Amino acid sequence: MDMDDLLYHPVPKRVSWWDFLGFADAALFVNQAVTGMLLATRYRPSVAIGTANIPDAYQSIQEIMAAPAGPLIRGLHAWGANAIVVLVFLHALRAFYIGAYKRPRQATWIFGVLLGAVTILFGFSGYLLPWDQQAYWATTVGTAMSTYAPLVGNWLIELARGGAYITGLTLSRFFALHTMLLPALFLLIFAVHLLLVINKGMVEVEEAVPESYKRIHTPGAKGDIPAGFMPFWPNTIFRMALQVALVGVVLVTLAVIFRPGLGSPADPLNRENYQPVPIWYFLSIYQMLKFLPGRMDAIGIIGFPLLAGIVLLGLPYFDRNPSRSPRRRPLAMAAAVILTGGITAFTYIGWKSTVQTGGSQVKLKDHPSFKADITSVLQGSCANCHMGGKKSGGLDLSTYESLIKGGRRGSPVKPGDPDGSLLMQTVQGTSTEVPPMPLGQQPIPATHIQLLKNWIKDGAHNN
Amino acid sequence: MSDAETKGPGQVKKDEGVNRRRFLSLGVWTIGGLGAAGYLTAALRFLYPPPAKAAEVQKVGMPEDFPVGVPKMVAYSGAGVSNGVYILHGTGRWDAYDVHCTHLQCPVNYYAATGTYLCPCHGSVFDINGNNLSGPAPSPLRRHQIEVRSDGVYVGGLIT
Repeated sequence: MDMDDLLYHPVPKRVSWWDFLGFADAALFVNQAVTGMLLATRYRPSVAIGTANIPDAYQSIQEIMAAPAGPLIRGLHAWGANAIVVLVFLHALRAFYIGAYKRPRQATWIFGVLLGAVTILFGFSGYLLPWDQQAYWATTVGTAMSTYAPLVGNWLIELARGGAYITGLTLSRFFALHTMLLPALFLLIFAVHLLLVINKGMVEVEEAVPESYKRIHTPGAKGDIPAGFMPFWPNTIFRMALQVALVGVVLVTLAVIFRPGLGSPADPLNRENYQPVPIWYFLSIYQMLKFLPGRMDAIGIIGFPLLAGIVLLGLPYFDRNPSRSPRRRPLAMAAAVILTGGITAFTYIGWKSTVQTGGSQVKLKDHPSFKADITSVLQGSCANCHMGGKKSGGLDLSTYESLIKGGRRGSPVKPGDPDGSLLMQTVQGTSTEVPPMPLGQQPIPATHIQLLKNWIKDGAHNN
Repeated sequence: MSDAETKGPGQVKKDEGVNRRRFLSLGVWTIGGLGAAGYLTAALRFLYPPPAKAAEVQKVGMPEDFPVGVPKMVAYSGAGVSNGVYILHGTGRWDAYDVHCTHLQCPVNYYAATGTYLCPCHGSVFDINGNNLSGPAPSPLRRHQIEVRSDGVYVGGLIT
């Protein structure tokens, strides 16, 4: 196929926007490369304590955020990383929906899956670089997951970290991985993926172009486009560019309005009792682990992702149904809907369970109201285990009724008697039956304890 | 005479050509393979960390800094980063517990009220001696080497 043929091949006018997602993904990777190179000019992958008495890597992120256009560039990189995960996932869904993984495009699909894996590795390795609490502990837990792999688990984790812990060595390794090994690997796989797309053509185009056209078509003959079709250049590429522009506008808007955050510097001693939360695209696994009993952790951590990888890579060979039409592939469609729905639902539940809503903004009042004050306190500190369908110890704190009803130990609230209420005993750590709440975390702020106390003293009304 | 015989000399020459090409291609793969294996071996040796038990002991305080029966967190430094270790001065014995939960390595916190270490991530509970009591943690807290000398308490690398 020569250049003219590539540029002027006919494309159906009714081509879907979904078919341009691969192009948008590529554009996003260009954004990551450009902003990444810029960030690398100021970033320092070192944990040595710098001039501002904080780790140097963390300090260099502060400097980036203070530099002209720094927040924009870091914002584009951070939001771009999230956008890639979403658009790559949608791109894969589209390819699945139209059966683009079937003969003769099996290799295109497989290299696409490999690109998806590299994308996840990019996100994971980039997450550690700011060296704040979130980065440090999410990477600690993320790498610790590999210990559940049989035989090679401990070897893998030490290799990834350069030792038993996340240290300066780990940061250097992740930086080298993120900025050197993965880009090289990405370009290599992407080159093959792109060549295959060009070589094998796109399903939608191939199926729409009439045989009569293919017979008489002379490659490169401009203007030789059948009715109902348009040339790839410039008509189709213009639409692709429009989609990229739309994605770009969204990215810039997000980067400007929601600046990427930077938490407290990484503290491996975790003196402030930071509670690790995974990056959002691991929330579904995180949530699944909460549902699985402890002894099945290896299945959730290693088994499911491994199975998913094998199924995705082998999909063109497992699915023997020759039809590409979604209507003639009810089984494949049902499986995709269930899987996508499951992942979305688990991600949502996982996200809800980690969101801490406004608890710290509660003001102390002598006569607090349940709706205005108490729910806020409960949501801020208790939601992880006692809300959103979770009833640790049988206790559900989502509504007034369920709070009063209580759990296995009865009602935690005795109206008018704060000291006799189990709720007060647990948040103050004075109960002899129940461990201090929130479990494993810092006690809730003194103002919150006083609010709860005042509310119970007032009679614990649903006001 | 058959076709093969008439084309005899040519056939032989062609065979030689195939063998020669096979030899050359084998040579290319061998050179490439040996080169790649060499780089890979060097890379793994370079990247693989020293065994954890080889870590140096470090002084973390004086014996009188650690009251009996109350775990106290100290920092154990390695590769530019300090990690948390709970020192427990028991009756007649000293123990050093790693701060990382044995489930997914979130940092545990000691609660004096209940005498337990609690993990904030998935709620694992360990008793004061690091034994896993409940939650998903599959094993007791990992231990560090600990030595009590006249001039101080020394903590080393992981031993379990």
